[in-house]
Amino acid sequence: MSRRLLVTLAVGLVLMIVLGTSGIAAEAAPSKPITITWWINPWRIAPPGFPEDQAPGSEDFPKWASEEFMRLHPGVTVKYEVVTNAGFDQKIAAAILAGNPPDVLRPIGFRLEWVKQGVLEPIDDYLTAEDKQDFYQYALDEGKVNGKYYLFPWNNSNNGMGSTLLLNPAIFAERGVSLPKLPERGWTVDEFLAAAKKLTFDRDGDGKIDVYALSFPATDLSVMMGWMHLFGARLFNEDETAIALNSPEGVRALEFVVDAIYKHKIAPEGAAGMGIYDSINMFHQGKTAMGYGGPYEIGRIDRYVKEGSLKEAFPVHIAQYPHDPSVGPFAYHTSGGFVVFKQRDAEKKELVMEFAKFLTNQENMRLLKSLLYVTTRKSVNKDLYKGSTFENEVEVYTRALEYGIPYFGSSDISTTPIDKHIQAMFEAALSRSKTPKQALDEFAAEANKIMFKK
Amino acid sequence: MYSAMRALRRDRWGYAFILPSFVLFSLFYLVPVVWSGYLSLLEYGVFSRTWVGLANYVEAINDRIFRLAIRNTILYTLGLVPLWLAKALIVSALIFPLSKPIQTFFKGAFYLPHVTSSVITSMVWLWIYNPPFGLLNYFMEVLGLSPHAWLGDVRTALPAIIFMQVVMGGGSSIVMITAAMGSIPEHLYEAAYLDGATKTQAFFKVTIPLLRPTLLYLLVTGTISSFQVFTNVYMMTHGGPQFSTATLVYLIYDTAFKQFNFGLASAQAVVLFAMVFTLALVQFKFLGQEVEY
Repeated sequence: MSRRLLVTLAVGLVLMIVLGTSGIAAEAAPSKPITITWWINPWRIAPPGFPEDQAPGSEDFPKWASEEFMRLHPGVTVKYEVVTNAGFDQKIAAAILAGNPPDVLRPIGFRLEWVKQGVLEPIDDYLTAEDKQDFYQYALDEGKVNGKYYLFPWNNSNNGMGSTLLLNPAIFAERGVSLPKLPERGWTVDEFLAAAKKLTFDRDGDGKIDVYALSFPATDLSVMMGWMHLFGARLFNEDETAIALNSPEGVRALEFVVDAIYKHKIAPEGAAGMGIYDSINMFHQGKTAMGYGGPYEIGRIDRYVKEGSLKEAFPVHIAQYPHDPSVGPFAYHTSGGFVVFKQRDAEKKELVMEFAKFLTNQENMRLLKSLLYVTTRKSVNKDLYKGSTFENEVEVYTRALEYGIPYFGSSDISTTPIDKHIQAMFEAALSRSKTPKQALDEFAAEANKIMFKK
Repeated sequence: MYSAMRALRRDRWGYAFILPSFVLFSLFYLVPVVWSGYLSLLEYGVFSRTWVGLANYVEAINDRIFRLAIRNTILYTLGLVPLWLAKALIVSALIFPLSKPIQTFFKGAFYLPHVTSSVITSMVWLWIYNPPFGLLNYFMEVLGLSPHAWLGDVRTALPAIIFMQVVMGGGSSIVMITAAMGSIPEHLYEAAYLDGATKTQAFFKVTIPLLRPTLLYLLVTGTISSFQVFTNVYMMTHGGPQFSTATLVYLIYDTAFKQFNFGLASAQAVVLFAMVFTLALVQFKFLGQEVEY
């Protein structure tokens, strides 16, 4: 009896091992060769082991990620493509229409239209409870449509544009202006205006302004929408059924910007024709004491020096946008990540999802540090910059994000059809071809017609 | 039918030689044009195509920005093409009497921007027009004038783009006009001078009339290409400020690749095609007289 039991147990054990092993093998190697394609715009991330004295190129990270995933998943081929920022949208649109989009994509801005057209896979089943706890809710919400998630969050924000300001401490010291206080580096509108007036000056005494406090790039919607939130205005009403930017708070904010240029003269005229790179260049060349962006923009300075397009690096501090004490601080809440296009093959779908999870896991997300990016995982951000030179700046930035607002409404609504009208509104007001109220009212009328058929 | 077949057999080698070119033309031009006409009648989604008849055309015509884009495109063409042609004609007249090597040098110099990417030239001109530290405003300040936001002002943005195109363009026109000038028989000028014509009179009474076929060709192709202006607008203004530089092709791009509304974009493209086709017909009708010499 005991012998029979022993034999039965032994056979059972062998069977368990065989079945178990075959189970593992099936998970590790797909039943057929599988090719995963993924596209990403240029991200100069240093992969593990990258020499510190060299500047990484845009191919280094996708090449490493593809090879690493292939190493971990035998039988899977991963092909990447680095798509330039110019023409990115056209290329994706053409690929989608041709029925041949990549399996995984890091879009420049999440597109609600893709969900509506049914070309994206929902990822809810692939987000673990731990993931949901670890990702910031605003980052998950960036790709949430009708209660389903479509975006594996990765990086925070779009370079910090619209979230925080950059300060040149050398110019502040030259003019005897103290920086806003740590840990938040927050300031009120009055404090900001007083500082800005001192920071605008004629350095060589020829009667012309050499340094302005800052500039207003009318064509950069994130930056300009930041200013629109000064006194609490919002693009949409609470239930997102109408434009609300032409509220008294919105008019007051736009008047503040126009006055900053023409009355207080703390920013150069010609803002209506300025883009974000004009602002960046002015800041880099010391023509403005303040610029726009988050930690990534500090990294841009070092990169430009390495590339030879900027003579020398200079220290930069991050500060909040000014705020009205009755409204409180604010920043732009947005994030980027990876989407998965519709999959026909169930086995491939599992691997594609696995690849998207691989790109956004804790370990690989830490690689964003080489670009001075803040990630969308709480667990990673906790100690990512601890002890680094940029610890204070990242701290200021992440604290600012605690006051985050999605400037362009929830992800259930797309502002794509009215983006050009928002820009036209800023151009009209900043060139003074319309008063702020006129510009806002006309924008609201046009945008309500387009978006809400009102 | 029989004679057509006979002609086809007789000219079979001619047809054989143009066949590869015709296949490529059909594949990349003819089929897309016909296809976009079909798309313009649909609401075109990735997985769905709904027949909407002329609804896209109605939407396009009722759209204020579309009407503005038509106006801007016409203004751009009216501003650019005559200046472009005038520049090419003047430069050709000035360099034609020069010796061959000098003529070739100038032709090459004026042709050079034609082979440079318009993205690059747009970037250069963006810097020239830059409000705070652009070259143009620097000279304005040197002359004691106030700097101006050339691309940020609705009054100057479109003229600034036209000016850039006039300065940079016209290279191929100069090559064609000087070639056409070379084919005008010398005895016609001798006869004119014998009759007491001055150089200016000979230019207007002999040269210009005999250049008519070349000028007509340049006028038609110049009009078509200026109706298709895109890169400069995309690179320099994105249609702003306040849509003052939004042109038809830029709007088609915006509708298709930013709004993903391919049906409406196709309708806009068909309207553009109809406009250019009509204009070309009118130009041929009124300017296309035969010239014999």
